[in-house]
Amino acid sequence: MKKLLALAIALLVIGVTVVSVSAQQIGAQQNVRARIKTLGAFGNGLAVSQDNSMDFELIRIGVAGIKVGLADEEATVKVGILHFGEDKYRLKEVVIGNGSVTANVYSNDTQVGSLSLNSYPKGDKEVWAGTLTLNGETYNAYVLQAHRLVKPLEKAEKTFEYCKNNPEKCKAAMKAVGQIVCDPVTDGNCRDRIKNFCEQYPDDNRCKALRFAQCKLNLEDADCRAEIMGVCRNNATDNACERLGEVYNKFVERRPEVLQNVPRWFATVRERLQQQTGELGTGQQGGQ
Amino acid sequence: MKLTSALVLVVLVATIVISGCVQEPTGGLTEEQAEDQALQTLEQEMDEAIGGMTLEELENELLQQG
Repeated sequence: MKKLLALAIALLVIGVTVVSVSAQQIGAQQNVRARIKTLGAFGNGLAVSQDNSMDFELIRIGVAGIKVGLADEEATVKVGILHFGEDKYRLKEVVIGNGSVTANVYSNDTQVGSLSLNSYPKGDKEVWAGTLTLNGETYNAYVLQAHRLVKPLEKAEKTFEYCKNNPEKCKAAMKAVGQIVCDPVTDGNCRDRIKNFCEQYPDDNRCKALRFAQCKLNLEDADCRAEIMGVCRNNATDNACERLGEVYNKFVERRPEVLQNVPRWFATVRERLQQQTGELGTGQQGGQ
Repeated sequence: MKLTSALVLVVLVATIVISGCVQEPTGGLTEEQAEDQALQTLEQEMDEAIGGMTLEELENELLQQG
């Protein structure tokens, strides 16, 4: 009797250990890497006091929509970090628009300021300019958008999104540059296969084409704008350049002085847009 | 009889303990956990891409633009 009871307890202990270990492993497998979905302002820069131009500080800013969560339930959280000199602040109430970012600045849980930036093409880069209010002082803020290496998973997710929302166009985009990976119109699992394929082969022409197509619809993402800008440098007639030009033009019309040293592709697109609307441009157009 | 009771008791306890251990993972992270995870990721990206820039490097970047 005692032996049997001891055996039962031993089995119970072993059973509980095995089950709890495997449950932990399942939990760990279901945790998905957090990754950037939409990139806003991201780089180093300067904040110059509006009252005293010699009162300036180095700043570093990162604003992004980050995809987080478990495999079966994901959410995009918009967050931001501001380094002002040696001080670090958290950005909350973040809004990422087409070439714009607004947020409130927090130290611990207390709001200590706000931030509003718009992006402009300068040379072959994107520069953010706007105002930063911090601890009662107002600064003009300038940030050079940093080049970020977009991870294969992030790239692949762009193709997934495009094929999920536009199966016909997804198929046509693949056909235009090669054989289709699978048929997203008839095969419900195709977009997952495309995602896996494109994560493995991000430089495949079909993956590039799908990503570019998705980027045309996602101009609030600075990584997408950078990708489109790369194409526009060589071919300003691509319709994506016109879309991107319209984004920048919105800010340029409010601040024509920023037209100095704009890239050639943007000057070309701007001329075309002006011809279409019959408007006469103001300010100085550059080119390089 | 005693043996049967003991076995039933063990099975009952085992069922309760094991069912507690294999609870389904809950729907997702809490809002706070999700924000913390997002911030951690953003910070890591910032360190990788723009962490090491000195004032001199920034000056060079700005001069290139000018």
